Amino acid sequence: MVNQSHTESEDLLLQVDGLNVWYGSNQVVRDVHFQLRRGQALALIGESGSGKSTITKAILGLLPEGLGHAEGQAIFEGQNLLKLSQRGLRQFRGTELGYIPQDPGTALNAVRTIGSQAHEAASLTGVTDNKEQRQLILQAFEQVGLPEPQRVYDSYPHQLSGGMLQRVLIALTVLPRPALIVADEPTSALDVTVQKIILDLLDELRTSLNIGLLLITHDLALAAQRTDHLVVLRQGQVQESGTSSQIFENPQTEYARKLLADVPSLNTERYRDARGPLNDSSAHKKDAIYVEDVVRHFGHSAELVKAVDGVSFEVKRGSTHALVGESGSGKTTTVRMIVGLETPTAGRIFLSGQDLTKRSTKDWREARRQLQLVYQNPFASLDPAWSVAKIIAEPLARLKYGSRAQQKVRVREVLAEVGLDESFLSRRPAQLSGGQRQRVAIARALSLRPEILVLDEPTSALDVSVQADILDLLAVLQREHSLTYLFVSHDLALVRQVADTVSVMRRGVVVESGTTQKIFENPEHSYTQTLISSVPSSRGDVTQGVQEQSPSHIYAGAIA
Amino acid sequence: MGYTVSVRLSGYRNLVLSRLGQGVLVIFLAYVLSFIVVSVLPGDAITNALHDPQSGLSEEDIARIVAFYGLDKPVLIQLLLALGRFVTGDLGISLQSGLPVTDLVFDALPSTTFLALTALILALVLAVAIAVGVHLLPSGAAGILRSVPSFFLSVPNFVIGLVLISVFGFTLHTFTITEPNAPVATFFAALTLAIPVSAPLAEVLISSLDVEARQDYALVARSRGLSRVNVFAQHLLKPSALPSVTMVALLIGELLGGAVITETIFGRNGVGTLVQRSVGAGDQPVLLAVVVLSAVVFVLVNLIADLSVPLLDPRTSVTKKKKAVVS
Amino acid sequence: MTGIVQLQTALETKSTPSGNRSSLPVSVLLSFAVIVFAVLFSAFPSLFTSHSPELGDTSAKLVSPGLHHWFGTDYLGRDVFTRVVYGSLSSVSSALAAVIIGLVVGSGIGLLAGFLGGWVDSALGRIVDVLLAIPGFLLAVVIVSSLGFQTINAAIATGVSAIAVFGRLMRAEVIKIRGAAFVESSFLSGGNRLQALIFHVLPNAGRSVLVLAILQFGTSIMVIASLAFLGYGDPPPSSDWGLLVASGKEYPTAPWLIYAPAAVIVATVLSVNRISRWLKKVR
Repeated sequence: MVNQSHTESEDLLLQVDGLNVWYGSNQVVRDVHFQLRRGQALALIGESGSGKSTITKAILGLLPEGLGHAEGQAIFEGQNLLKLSQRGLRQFRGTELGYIPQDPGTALNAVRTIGSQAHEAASLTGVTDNKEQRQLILQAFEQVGLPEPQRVYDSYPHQLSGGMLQRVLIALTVLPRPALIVADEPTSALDVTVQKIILDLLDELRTSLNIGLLLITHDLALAAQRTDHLVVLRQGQVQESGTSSQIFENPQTEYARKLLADVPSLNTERYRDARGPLNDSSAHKKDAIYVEDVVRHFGHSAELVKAVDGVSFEVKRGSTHALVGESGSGKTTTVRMIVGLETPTAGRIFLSGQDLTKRSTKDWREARRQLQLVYQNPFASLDPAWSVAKIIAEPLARLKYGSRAQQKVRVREVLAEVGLDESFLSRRPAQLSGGQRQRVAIARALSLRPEILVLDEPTSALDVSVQADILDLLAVLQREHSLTYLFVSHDLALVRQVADTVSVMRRGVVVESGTTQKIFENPEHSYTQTLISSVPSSRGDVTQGVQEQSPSHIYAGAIA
Repeated sequence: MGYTVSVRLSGYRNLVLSRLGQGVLVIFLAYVLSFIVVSVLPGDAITNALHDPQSGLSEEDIARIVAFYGLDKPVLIQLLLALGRFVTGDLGISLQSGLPVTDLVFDALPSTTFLALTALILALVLAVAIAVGVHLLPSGAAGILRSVPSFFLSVPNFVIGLVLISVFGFTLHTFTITEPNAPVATFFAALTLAIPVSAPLAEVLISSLDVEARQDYALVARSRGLSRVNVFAQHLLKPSALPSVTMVALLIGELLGGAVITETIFGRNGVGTLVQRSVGAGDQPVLLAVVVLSAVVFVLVNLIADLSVPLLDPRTSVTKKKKAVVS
Repeated sequence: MTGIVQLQTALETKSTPSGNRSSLPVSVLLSFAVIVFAVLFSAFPSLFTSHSPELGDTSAKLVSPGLHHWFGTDYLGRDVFTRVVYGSLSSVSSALAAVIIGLVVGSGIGLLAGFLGGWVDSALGRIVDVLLAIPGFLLAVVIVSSLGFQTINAAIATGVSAIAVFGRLMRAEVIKIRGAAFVESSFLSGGNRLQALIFHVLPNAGRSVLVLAILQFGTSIMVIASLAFLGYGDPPPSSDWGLLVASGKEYPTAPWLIYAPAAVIVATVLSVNRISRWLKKVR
């Protein structure tokens, strides 16, 4: 445990000691302690279920009434926040304690204008005159870099983008000049380029206004880059705390080490190591997937949406090709065309040299044996009413794979391949964890022994350590069955390690394509450059420390 | 900006036109359906009613009515004749009294309209009171209040009416059953009608308040120092009220259907008792007219609700923009 | 017989152990007990009472409730509890019939509309709109007046007026599930639309439809009782619950004639609603 000793120091802003939180009789936070100084940033890090959000809600007194219950100390400006009544807390809320939620899209009332809600924040400044308040609001909007403050003021939330809304929320939080801002995953709902801008803004406001920032995040790279102190949480308990550089250079606990090792952007070789030697036999074979000038438009003349507008790329047999882009880039639509869920408006798609766009329904059934899709969200892609055995057997039953008995054997075989034992056969999706669900989804995709797997953000809904397990599994499967992967992702740090070739998409077109090395080391297109520079990576000194750490324990906890 | 405004307006105009068209179609089909129900289904109620010696109709009256409805012609012809009259606003002649159906219905209408509107107001008051209580009272009282709509939904209309009459009429003498149109009696009749209607309304309000209270914006508003009552009044109420507007419109039919029982029990004269008398006498043209009238009211009210919700809710863009699935 | 398939599949999903299954709340246990009694009353009325439902003891007219006559006696000296017990069969079974009519026809319409979409959806949508536009109780009154005053006709009328509700729910469920990733994934597994409908959409929609069916069973008991109350069911001496209340209201001095059968109706409907709500919550 690394803790500062000079606690009496004047600029101590928040001191949390022996914090315990219960939901009913279920204790979700145990004996948590940390302290935050004025002008500094502290990150609470953890995976889902670590209690990090609960801690902030307890501090702000926003636990669901009648359900959540907190004990311990959270000393802020000489008062224990946990002992204050709701009325007592209201003196601090907004004026001294600011809160920025995770999803800016739901953090503002959708049926009221932004201006009307902004006045709630402006009235906390003590200014009562409506016109003066409005002046303050417009200034605050301008300060956070919102163009046309007056227009923003008059808008309804749905008329602004996620990035703009998060700026609005930051502006409103900062407006009454609080001493402490609690930001709960403030950028996880945003695209990577927007994420960087928002974090820069928070940094700048923190230093210029001398505000303390309590940042809640699951993203270690982001925490490393943006905060001075870290508290690593697991199942409601502090695993480790200290300065960011201390923890990154010399993590004391096994959990912190594994967590650090699993983050792609901190360990540039983490997943590359797990992969076999890059395929070298592919040169003379026909491409597994060849996409030629594919176009997909939705809607009609006046409201035409060009989701995909002339995309070409190829995927070599046995290789991994990554399709990278932010939301709205058209990558998902492209993939849906490849697997036959959408029909291209124009262009052609070849699967192992055969033109898919001209195929009949019957031919498509053939194509399904070669090509399968693993969905992004394993919570939606498995029928909740079905057992695991039935789910994995579905392609076998529909595409007439052998006899019933042979199907059963194959289900067990493929279940073992994804690392699940036979006790899972009779379970239903609701009884599985996220990682287990994704393993079942992979097993289903593999049951017909396809040559090509399309992986649509296969780990983006999962925690970082679970993501590591799934990626390791995919690497093993690829090596053993010489699979071809088309890997869709927005996570560039990850793509850099798992992909052989990359296509970068933006607004329905491929802006740049090439080998991973070329794209990352020598990006030509300005958009690619922005994307790469937006990836949160830790500061130079820290990164090196981590890289030195990584090789020894990479495989230790990987196959769970 | 000028351009987008005009696009929005033309989109809204299209919405209005298409909903109007649908409404007219539904009324037309409702007429056809009820005609089929009363004419084609087994049991020749009309002939029976006409030849009922108690009807007091003379042979000439009967001949006139038979000719008027084309009762000696095939059913399809009867339907076409009826539709022809329907579009000109003629609802036919009562088999029981020989009077024009329109007169009978419009004589009964004011009393029922008054009763239904009073009931609607009572139902709204009850529903809002329950929902607000559930959200602002301490958890114990709120829990009990939460089960009230479910109880309201389990008691038939006629039981409520009889219990109210028995308690307030016979025991407490708050009103006398012999004066059904007195204000207090009307109040209890309206209450009878309102209780079953308030229940689904309260449930919709409670559940949309639950949903809204769980939204991030409610948390953020509280983090800005607003009290629970303020968050409730300034933030949660409006978005929760929007689904209720649709629900109120859907419940209009319940009020009209419930009037049959309520008016019978309380001895009021209105559309409900007219229906009851007509059923007893097999006076199908009157029934047909009431059914179509109810459909018209329902369609109109729902049209107003459907067209006003997009204007109240800034999220529903009145231009129908088709959103494509894009990654 | 799509409705039967749904019911079965819905029951199947219900009985499988899944997720966070909590122990049965007392109120639900009590509700089940009430329903069991209602069913037993219908099946074996003579087990519960030794009196005759039709022959009264003229020396014991309008006796208030007591040990000998739990619900008292009526103006002919008949035991009211006995009449309630013997009235269960037609009250409960006609409500069941009504639910089955509404369920089969309504779900069928909703299923076709939701799954086929396009013009089929528009056409069926208008039919449902029409049924919604006519107040349910009024429609039932008109139908029963056309078919004749019998309890079975009241059941048919109630069933028809419930079609719209089932149709709307089924359509909404089908559209929701049809767009789910696991249905799409079944296409990728080589399945066709019919297979997706039978194996994925129906089992998942079944549950909500079942919850509605149970709720509608309670509503049907009330609607049929209301029709009987107005005299549109089987005539006396039959003893439909609603009819008992109606004949009781002629004797204001003997309030038990109203309260006893009314309490039975309320208890039954309340129990049905409680079970429906519980099923909706338990996943």
